[in-house]
Amino acid sequence: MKRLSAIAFGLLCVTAGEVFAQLRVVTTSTDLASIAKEIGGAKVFVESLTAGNTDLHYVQARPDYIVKLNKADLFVSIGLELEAGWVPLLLQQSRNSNIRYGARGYCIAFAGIELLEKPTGEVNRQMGDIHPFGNPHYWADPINGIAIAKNIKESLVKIDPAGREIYEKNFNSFKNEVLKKTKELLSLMAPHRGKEVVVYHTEFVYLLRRFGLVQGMMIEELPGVAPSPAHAKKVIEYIREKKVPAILVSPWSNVRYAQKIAKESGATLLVLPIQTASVPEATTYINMIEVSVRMLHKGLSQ
Amino acid sequence: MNAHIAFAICAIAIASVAQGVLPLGAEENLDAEVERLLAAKPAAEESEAGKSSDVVDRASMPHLFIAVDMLGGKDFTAKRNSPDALTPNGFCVRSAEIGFFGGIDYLALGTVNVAVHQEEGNYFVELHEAFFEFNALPFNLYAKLGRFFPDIGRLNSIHQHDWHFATTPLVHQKLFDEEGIVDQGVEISLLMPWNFYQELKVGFFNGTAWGHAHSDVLTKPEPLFTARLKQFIPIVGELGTQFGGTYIRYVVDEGGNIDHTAGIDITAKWNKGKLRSVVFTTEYWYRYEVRPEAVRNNKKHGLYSYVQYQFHHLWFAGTRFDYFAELDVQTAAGNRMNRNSMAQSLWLTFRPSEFSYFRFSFERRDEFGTNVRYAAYIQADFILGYHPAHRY
Repeated sequence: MKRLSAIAFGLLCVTAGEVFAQLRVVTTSTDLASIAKEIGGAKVFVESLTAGNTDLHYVQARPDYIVKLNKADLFVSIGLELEAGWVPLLLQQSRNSNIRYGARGYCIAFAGIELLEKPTGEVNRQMGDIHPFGNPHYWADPINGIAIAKNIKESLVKIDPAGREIYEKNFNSFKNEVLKKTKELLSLMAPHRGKEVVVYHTEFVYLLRRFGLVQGMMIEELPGVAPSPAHAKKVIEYIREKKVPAILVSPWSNVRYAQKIAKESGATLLVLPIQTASVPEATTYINMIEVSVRMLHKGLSQ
Repeated sequence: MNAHIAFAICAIAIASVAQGVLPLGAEENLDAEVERLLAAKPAAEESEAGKSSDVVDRASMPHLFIAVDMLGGKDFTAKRNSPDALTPNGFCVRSAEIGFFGGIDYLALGTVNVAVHQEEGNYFVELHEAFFEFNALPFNLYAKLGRFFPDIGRLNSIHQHDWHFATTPLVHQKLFDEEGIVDQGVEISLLMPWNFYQELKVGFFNGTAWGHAHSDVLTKPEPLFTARLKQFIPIVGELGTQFGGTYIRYVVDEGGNIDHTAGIDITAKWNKGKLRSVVFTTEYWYRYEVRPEAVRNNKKHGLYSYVQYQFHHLWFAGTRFDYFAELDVQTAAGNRMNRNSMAQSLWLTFRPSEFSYFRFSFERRDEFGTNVRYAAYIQADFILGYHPAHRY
């Protein structure tokens, strides 16, 4: 009995030691969390503040997030003001100066990524929810996923230089896997190149661009602003006139509204799970990309 | 659609094309593209704004916001301008706040908030809030120093234009003030080192005035003392709840009159993005007024509970119940009794964005069982500039 207790105690110490030795990485989204797990491997404990089916524009600044941020070694956010409504307050309340903006433990995930839809003229709120630094849904392009992984790797190396070799190795594996999968999916989507789709919100632009599709009209009247009946009518006419085959909507958008337009216009409605864990099959970032693209392929083949 | 919007949308469209939102879709150059991407500037050299001059501007300029709160009301049961009326039967800009906030230095953030608000037909300009927030203290501490709304109960630290309803709950009106307590002092909070959220706050304030008074009324006060413990419990998914307990000690004058006020509050929230949400809050307060000169000490208590449901992405419906009682009050006949007041209200809010809303509200108020009144309100609020995120 004593021997059993000693073994159990030993195991507990080893396990606890491993947990304490791990770096705590907190991300705002499940995609960033999935990529951080790939890069950090067993050396990191990763938590996403939000679930996969969360609209990242509208998140409650819950107090339990403060606790997670308080204990974090590295904080990874999407940036470009996507999380402007909740992250600044949480960081301010976290009492953790290591993860403040500009600190070693703050990772800007979009560094190096070519941002789309950067407004160049006057920007004001009458234009809807415009992101003045560019469209923040950049993770939907798998090649941008490689850039995110690189930024996370560099941040991990900064706070844990001893782990550089492991992070580099994990990054190279991730990069190769993403490249292989992207090439496979590009071949799959080759017959659809140049096809136009209607979107509910401009959150698919990076995915569409990568796989050779064209973003047509938006169901939202302005970004973040629900359509009026008059605008919905225009969208229906547009779909009919241009014979647009599909409407793309995310699970957290107003799917019922998109359904009505799809029904009246005859286009196929595709609810694309463009965030990791937004559907059970999208267990990792790469799975999420694959599930989304295969769904797109199936919808456009009908 | 006005010309500005049309111009701006065109500008975005042109910019998008110029940047290449043209389809890629080929795999021939994928390896080269990845190599180019990986050779891009490291994260530390990038910035949110992208240009160093923008970064300097953003670092040195505080955020600015302006919040305007308009309220129109009609009391169907009182004569116009009667002192008993719930509302003066008219429409006015109840308040306009101009606020600045930003980082002061590596130690602290700063907030200044000047309000112009209406009281009995006249507008007063006052320094609503001006405070430091020290967010880089050791041992999980956080401190506020200056003039601000102390974190007591649920409603006090939320600005009136951010409330989910148009009128002040009875218990707040009777025990605090129309717009809550604002005072000058220090509030220190400790985030407990547990794996769940629990925060303890203590505050020491001048205590020379109670509520929202514009001038000090006491000359030799003892400090106003506040203490609050709050805890958050995530339930499932986006559903969570926060509990809080508060104690306030206020020395009313130099004659030994002291108010001890204690309260508990519960808030539960659920939301599905911006499409659906539910908020439930209840707040109970008890006050024990120590009066050495009087035969008996006074006791008062009350609560309000409200629930608001977002049934459409632009529309919210809510209802609130208010209760307040003065306990063990001596009547003219020499008997002792409780004097109860109650109110019920309903509202409908149209919120086209997080920067404006229009509210239609109806209230029935029964004060001390003798004076039942009915009133309707229209509230219209907007925010210009950057508005900080709301605390839970």
